[in-house]
Amino acid sequence: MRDRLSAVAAWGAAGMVLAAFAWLIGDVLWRGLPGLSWQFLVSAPADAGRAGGIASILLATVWILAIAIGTALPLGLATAVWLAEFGHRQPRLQGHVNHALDVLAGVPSIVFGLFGNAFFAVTLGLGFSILSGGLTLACMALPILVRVTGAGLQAVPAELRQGAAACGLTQWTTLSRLLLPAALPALLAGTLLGIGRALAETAALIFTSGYVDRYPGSVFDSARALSVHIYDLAMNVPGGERNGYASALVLVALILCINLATHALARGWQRSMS
Amino acid sequence: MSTPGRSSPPDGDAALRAVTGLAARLSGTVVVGIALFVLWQAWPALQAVGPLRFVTDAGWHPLAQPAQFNLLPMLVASVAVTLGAMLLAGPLGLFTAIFMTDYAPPALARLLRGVVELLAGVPSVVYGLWGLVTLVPLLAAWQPPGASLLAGILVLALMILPTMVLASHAAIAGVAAEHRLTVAALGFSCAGSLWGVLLPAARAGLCGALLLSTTRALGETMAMLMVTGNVARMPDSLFAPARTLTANIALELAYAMDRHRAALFVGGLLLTALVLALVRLARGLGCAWRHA
Amino acid sequence: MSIHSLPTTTCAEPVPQTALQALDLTVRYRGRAALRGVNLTVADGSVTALIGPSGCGKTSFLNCINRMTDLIAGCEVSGTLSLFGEDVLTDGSNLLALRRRVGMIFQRANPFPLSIRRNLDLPLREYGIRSASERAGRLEQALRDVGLWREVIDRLDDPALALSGGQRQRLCIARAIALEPQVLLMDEPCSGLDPHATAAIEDLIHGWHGRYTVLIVTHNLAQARRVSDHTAVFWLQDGAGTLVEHGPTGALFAAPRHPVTADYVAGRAG
Repeated sequence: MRDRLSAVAAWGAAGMVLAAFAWLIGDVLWRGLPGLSWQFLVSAPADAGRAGGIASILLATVWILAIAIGTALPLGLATAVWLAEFGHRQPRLQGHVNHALDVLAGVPSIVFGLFGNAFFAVTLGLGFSILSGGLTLACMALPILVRVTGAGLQAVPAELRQGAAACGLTQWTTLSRLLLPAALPALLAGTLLGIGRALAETAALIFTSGYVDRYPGSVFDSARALSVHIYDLAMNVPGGERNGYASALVLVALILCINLATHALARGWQRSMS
Repeated sequence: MSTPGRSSPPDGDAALRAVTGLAARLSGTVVVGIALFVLWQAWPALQAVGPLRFVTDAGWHPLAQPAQFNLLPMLVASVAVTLGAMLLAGPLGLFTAIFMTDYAPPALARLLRGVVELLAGVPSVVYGLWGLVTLVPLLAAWQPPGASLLAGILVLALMILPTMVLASHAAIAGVAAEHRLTVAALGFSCAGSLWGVLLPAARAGLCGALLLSTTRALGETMAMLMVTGNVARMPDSLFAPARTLTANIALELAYAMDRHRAALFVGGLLLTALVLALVRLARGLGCAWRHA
Repeated sequence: MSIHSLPTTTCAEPVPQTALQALDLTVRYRGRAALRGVNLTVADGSVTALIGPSGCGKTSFLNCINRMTDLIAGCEVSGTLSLFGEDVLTDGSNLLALRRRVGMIFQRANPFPLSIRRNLDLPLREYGIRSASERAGRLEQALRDVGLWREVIDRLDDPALALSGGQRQRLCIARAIALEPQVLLMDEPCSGLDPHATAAIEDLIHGWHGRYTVLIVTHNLAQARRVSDHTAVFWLQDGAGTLVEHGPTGALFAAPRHPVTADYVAGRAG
């Protein structure tokens, strides 16, 4: 009896989950595909986004991501290296840094938006700009980058470290010639994951990189990310739904590509570690 | 030949240690910086208005004379959508995870997992778009105005479902590997092993999954902004429009000045405090806490 | 002190110089002693076998000599340990220089996941040898010394991980001796190898008498008799490993003084 009930509940739940998601994805495809064309990708938005395409939006998104990853990656990599290779000598500091990163990963994105607006845009005087938005996203992506990279470094077999130490290699050589190459797929996977998160983020960008949908001229210009564009078309532009859905389809497709690439990397990495 | 007998580590290693140490300290400081900065920005409101008025004022009328700053309706809305979404997504996610480990043919389990992983990455603004364009009109035909607590609960439930499924699947799969053979050898029925052994053994991971999903739900902004109607009033039914703490900030930060702006930061502070309290709770309960 | 000048001066002396001296050496992991009160003197150019059952501190002892213990969190070493009169355990001593003087071979061969050539080239470069031709010369000499040169001459740039188990272990030995160490620590170097590969490595050790000071951990008593001129027996006493007997291999196996040694070498214990 209990067996039967559990089975029914499990099948039922899975069926409902699949159905709901089919509805969501089907809806995005159904409403998004008609608006999607090559022209849509390469022309600038017109009439507040109702007409035209998303070329300037895509460009702005790439700039914001580049700033975010360009800042968070070196910082995150160096932090992961310290935590994995040097942290054990200062266990208290190591504990504090780990705890701080865990808390950071839990902070809601709108709070990052508040902070980014107050700190980067107002206090540092960067205004609504690609730089403000990118730096805010860098803070958000930091914990993911540190965790995934750190896991990659920790998964390097201990024998490799022992061999390097026994040969009297410096830590710099051990790291740059042996550990980082071995952990490279994890590093890439972490970067992709960070890009995925940053790409999906909206709330933290509305008040940091802003709404301007023109082609950005420099990192000090305000620019509109793809996710913000979808939000604006849906909420503030009557008749913007068609292009909003087409943009959503582009965003979901980008996320899907990133997911697939991350998986391929992770699989290749597990093979090389075993 | 290098010089043996030198007493300090090579310069390169000292520099490496110094630079990475600096980076680690900086990374650790980011969260402290955010907390202090938000607190600093909220301070004028906390001082001039006083913490009490954020729950006792007649309503949220930041631009009225005199301005009123009651955050309680938004807090109630945030907690209500979160609880509602957890009530839906919790069991649904758990059973889907059970399905993936125990019932699904391998190919179906893989497909389901792929779909759920993709959905975990779908931006909240896309869930919001779907809710706004597809779900809200359906609800409006049944119980106007459509944009309501219920719409928020449904969209949010769908949004956190992937997190819930993936985290509970990881928890159950983790214990299944070590207990499955023992349980089979003892002649347990499938459900018996599940409810008697696997789920209790996966308790820590499941509780972590639940709390991780809850913090995600509580912090969600865009989808809530798009489907709950954004009326800053105490919601009196499931079908009434409401405004969450997160949406309140997103709606008003663009034009808020002075004390109003500071009051929005108080909202952010409250939100962060709630999330941190949940993280603490998770640690206190011994939950396996993992940010997937 | 220069690394290169040492062996030549010692060879001329009638009495072998002391290579290694441990006094009251104790190793603790998170406060629990794993090895207690070891006193051992090892002569330069000798081969010493460390025997005894598992878990009685043999590997811990080896790990002290090149301070691999530093890599283990919560590991504390006390007592004194000197290498050719120089203190090894002092914090200020140069770790990298120490590890270049003391090579180590592990139970599981651990070549770097690089090409065969890079496996030797990388440490040599680190060692400060700028000239490519000198590095190539040392590489060839080391590979010849371990009998690998002919086997790999036409595939030096292939990945080292493509080699067989015995070849990998000999590559690791070549990697260690290319740095011209004074001491070689071998931690059960043959335990994962077939008899043929084992014989090849034992032959190498035979050829090293007088050239390197070798400390080899082995569970194979016959191997200890074959390759060593001194044997040190470790045993578990009061929950921690310690050295119970030490002497010339022939005498120790023929007439063990300590009862546990007698039982162990006769195959009655351990």
